[in-house]
Amino acid sequence: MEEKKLQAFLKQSAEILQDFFPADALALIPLLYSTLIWAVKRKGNLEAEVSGLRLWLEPEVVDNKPDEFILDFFEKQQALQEAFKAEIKSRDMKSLRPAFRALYPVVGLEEPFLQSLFSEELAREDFRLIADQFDWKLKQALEEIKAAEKKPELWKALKKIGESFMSLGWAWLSDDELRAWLKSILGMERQGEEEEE
Amino acid sequence: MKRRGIGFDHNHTTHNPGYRRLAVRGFYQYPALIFFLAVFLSSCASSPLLKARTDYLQAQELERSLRQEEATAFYKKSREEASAIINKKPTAEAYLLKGLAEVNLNLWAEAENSFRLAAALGEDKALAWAEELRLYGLARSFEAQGWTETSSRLYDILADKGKYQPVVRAAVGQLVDLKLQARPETEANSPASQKEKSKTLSEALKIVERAVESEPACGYYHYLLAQVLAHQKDYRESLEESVMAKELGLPSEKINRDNDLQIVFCYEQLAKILSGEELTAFQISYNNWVKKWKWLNETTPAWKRS
Repeated sequence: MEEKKLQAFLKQSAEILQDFFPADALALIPLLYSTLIWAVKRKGNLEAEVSGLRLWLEPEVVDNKPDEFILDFFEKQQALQEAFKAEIKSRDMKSLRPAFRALYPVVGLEEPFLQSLFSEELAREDFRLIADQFDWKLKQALEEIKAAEKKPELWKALKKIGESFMSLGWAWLSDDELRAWLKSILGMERQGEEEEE
Repeated sequence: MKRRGIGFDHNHTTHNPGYRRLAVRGFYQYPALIFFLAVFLSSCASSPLLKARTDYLQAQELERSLRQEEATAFYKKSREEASAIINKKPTAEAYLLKGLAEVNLNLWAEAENSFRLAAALGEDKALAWAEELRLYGLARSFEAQGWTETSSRLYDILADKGKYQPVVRAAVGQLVDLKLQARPETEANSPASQKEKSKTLSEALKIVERAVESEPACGYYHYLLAQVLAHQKDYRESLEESVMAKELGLPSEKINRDNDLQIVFCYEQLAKILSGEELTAFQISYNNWVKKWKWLNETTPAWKRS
């Protein structure tokens, strides 16, 4: 029952946001997902969370990590280790470093917007594809948001979606449960499962 | 600079009190800016300006409470209110407030323009700030074009001589990141390259240590220090600096997460190196922090679900 309500809510929210984006926009679902995640995680001022999302995409961490840190990142997760087996074995930092630059924010820092943007690839554990497509896909999504931002109602609409979401009581769910539900209903996991089938 | 530990090597479970005192004292060590802001903000008497000022102060308060995202919303609000005042009647105070909000929103070019206009309307202090912002913007654009030496030189000047704290912090961050940039693989293993790398890391260390000395309570500087120390494979000190950064507070969730992963990385490296009683003592000490931060275990920060 709850799942059906959530499904209906997300469908309605996506329809509202469709007014701001072109039909095949990459940014729509990531923006919706990260808005809801931040809304629930912080339980604070939603406008602030949305603004936070925008700043979240600014480069501000130290990007240049030591080789040991990068190797450790690739070795820690089995799927990552598998995908970059040859490079790890030969300590091919020339290949690993650019892949790390793309994968670290998605897999390491778990940035919700990027996780949603690369949800299909993540579900299939296709880390090489994320590394290859990271720059152009992120650039395109950011350009879409930039274009949508010209309509000032975008942030108001997102705020309203977040507020409605909070008022419907799903904020009581644990982060894990909510993430799983959202991912499943927004199709972020289903695509991967379908691929497996 | 002699750094002081926070207890991983002495079985202590809390911060070194001496360092903590130093850090807390440092928090109050930029009186010129605070005094200037207080005088400037209290002089904004008209009602819309009062509202913009109140929102700016609210943003600062939220920032101090580490509620960065909410602070951002208030900076935006304050900026919009200042813009509305300017649209009706441009004043130096309104432009200055707009510029201050813009700096906090990372709108460097817009802030420079606002400060210039504030200066043109009689606010002398704003001119110096605009110049520093201009230099910073120039350095960023040189960096984007691949002119790293020129941009490094500009960041260095700002880090050393800058007076406007947000610009100085940003310049130190950029400068350190540039210094840590990996050398091309073909020359990475030659003795000359190793020597050069070691020299560059020492330079980066000096830059951050200088910054920490000037602002001991700035979590971001401790985060930078931890990053440099990890490049030097000094994992114990890097861990201590990361813990210090976390405790003092970091400017964004993204940096906070990166810092957490640095803590985990250093912990794992040290767990491999240490043995016997030393390892046991280290783990007890480390686990006290893990418990305090409510992490799921030694290697899983609360935000990490996978």
